Amino acid sequence: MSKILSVEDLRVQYPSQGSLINAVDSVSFSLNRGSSLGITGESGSGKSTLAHAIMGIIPSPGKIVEGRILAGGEDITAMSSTRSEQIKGDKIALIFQGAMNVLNPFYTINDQMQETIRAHRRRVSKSQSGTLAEESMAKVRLGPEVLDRFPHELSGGMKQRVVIAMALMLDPDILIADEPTSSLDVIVQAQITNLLKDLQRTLGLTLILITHDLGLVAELSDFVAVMYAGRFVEYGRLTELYGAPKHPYTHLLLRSVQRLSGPNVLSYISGQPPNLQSPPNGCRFNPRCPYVQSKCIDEDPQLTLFGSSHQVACHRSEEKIW
Amino acid sequence: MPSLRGEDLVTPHQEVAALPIIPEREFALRTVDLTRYFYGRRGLLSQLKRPPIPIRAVDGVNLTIQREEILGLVGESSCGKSTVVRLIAGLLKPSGGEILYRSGTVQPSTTLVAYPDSTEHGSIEVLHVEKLQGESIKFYRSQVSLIFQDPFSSFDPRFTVRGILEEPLSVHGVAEKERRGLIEEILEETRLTPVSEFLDRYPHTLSGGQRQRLGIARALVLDPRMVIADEPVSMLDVAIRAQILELLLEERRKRRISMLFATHDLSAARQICDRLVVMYLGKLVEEGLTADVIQSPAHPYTLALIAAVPDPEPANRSRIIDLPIKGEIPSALEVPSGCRFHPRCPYAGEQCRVEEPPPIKIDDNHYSACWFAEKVKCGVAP
Ligand SMILES: Nc1ncnc2c1ncn2[C@@H]1O[C@H](COP(=O)(O)OP(=O)(O)OP(=O)(O)O)[C@@H](O)[C@H]1O
Ligand SMILES: Nc1ncnc2c1ncn2[C@@H]1O[C@H](COP(=O)(O)OP(=O)(O)O)[C@@H](O)[C@H]1O
Ligand code: SF4
Ligand SMILES: [Mg+2]
Ligand SMILES: [Mg+2]
Repeated sequence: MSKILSVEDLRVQYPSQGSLINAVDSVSFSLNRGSSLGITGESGSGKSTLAHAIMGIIPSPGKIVEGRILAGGEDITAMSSTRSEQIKGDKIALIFQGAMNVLNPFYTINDQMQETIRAHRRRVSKSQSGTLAEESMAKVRLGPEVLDRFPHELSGGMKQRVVIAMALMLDPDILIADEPTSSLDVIVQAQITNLLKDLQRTLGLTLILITHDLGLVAELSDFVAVMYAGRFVEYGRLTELYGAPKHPYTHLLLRSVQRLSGPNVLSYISGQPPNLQSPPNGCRFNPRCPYVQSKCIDEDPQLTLFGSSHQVACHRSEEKIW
Repeated sequence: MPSLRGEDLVTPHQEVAALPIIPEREFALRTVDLTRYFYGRRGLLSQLKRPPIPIRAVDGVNLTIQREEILGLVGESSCGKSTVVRLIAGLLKPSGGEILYRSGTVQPSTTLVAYPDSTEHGSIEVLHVEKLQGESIKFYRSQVSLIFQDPFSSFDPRFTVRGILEEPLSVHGVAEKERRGLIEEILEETRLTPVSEFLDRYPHTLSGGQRQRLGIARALVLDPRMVIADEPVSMLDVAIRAQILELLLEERRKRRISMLFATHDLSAARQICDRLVVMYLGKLVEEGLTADVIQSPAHPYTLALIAAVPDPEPANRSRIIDLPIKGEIPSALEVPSGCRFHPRCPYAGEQCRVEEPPPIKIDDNHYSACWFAEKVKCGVAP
């Protein structure tokens, strides 16, 4: 199958209090058309930074210091910024974390949609762009009358639909959604989840979902990447990664989810994620890992392939101890 | 605001006071027809034309927190949870109704008699929280403390951990030489250790989980009898969330405090609450033991809340979530007639549009304000 996006050995650095931190560190993955990847992990693990790197919008002085990003076979990290911007405008759309809260209160939804179209398609007539806006609204099950409203006249769920409509307007190959449900109420969350599922089916949408919600990942992703301190520590198909996690972090993360069914036990990961300015030696998870051995402190485990797609970075992944 | 409680109407709470399973339990706090309306700011002219429309944030809430229990107050945002919390904490005056607080056994009842506004309620002495003033407010605050959703914004950034914990102690007149010991003890207890490493740090240097531990430490440092927690884990990562829930459970066990746990997260509530009340648009719609409410919900709104919770279950990838609810929550400015849930409810019939359902008893300790409560509870489709 054709790879619609490949990320190779990506490293993103931010200067922070006199030193450099690797917010994204040696990350590689690729994505087939029509499939979906869920990227999950604790706050600060580098999920949004990865999304921003793909979009080429890492705020300076942060920058991509290593690696390549190939979209449709072209290396967009190596391109001139105008060319790569054009490609990204056409090919990849990002729904920012919290985007629905930063809709401009002074402009109607229509004004804001037209603005987006004009920024990317200079030669579009007024009537064409009007049709584009209406079509996108229909995709997210909103009527054209909503276009004339201001953000404050919309409920949370409608705002999130508008934000999705804006992202879909230019008919992107790939949609990156950064925490698309996290500031919404649980019932609205489920409604938006259903909408995204529906778009996956009807439009064949290729989705990169970024979320700390492991339940949402299960609803929307074919593949899952678990990030810890800037790295992928486990990657695989949803069923294999959730069914038989090979990294203790994934295992413990899944166990710490509070559920409505099953036994009522409180399980959690003690401690907190490392400070990226001075990450621990060896495996970065070792200070929190209940299965830590001396090897884990001495040696940094590399991502290792199991079967056709399952990758894990843990010295003890094969021991079946959890 | 006239009382909505007719003499003949049996509210669930009259029965809850005598729970058959734990008969020795008594209430720690009870609200009776608690209401709070807000009036949005409008121009003078339009106010003259017609009376302002109230935002019915809390609209007749009867809830009981029993001694040593954790009661979950569950509902979506803007249903009124934080308003209930602020009313109970005495930070906000109700528009109507009563809040009755009963001091725990640890506090000799003579303390209560000393306050002018304590009254007889049945045969027990209670404080009327809505009427508290002066010294009695101070007493109440030492008994009932608060934990906030975002501990960060509730700390004064100029204070160190020590300063944050010292403040309530000095306000409540704890002698200076005793404070240090109490502060170190509470840090130890909330596992902000080694204590010496935390004492002089500023809140912005703490992680989210550590900040919430500090929020809990601050709430417990005066050794209260009751803790009111408003979404205490909502801002935390899943990996950390259970740590905080466990700490709350442990403190309840150790200190034998009662607790109100307001949350929009039913699955977090399931982990630590003994009983749940479910709130919708300013009113309670269901009440029961946690397991009963989650396993056999008797209100259509609870049914929808449960259906919406995503489980990390790979099989869910291929489904469309079956949501037995329409649209979104209306504004508290326009509370629908009859049952306020009827425009969104798949069970709704003619009666629902005109007549507000009272809390209906469907089982011991289990109540639902729905005309079709039995049907819903038995899993009969609409
Ligand atoms: N502009 C920036 N300058 C310096 N450091 C940054 C910047 N943006 C992010 N970081 C740091 O990079 C790391 C990764 O942050 P990122 O926002 O990607 O995390 P995330 O996984 O998206 O977290 P969340 O779940 O909270 O959204 C963190 O340590 C963060 O503090
Ligand atoms: N100070 C206030 N002034 C006006 N309206 C308010 C105020 N506080 C809360 N409200 C309104 O009351 C309702 C309940 O809010 P709140 O108690 O914060 O709900 P929750 O905590 O469940 O999200 C909402 O409609 C909210 O907009
Ligand atoms: S009373 Fe009627 S409208 Fe209200 S929840 Fe029950 S069935 Fe639905
Ligand atoms: Mg992020
Ligand atoms: Mg609130």
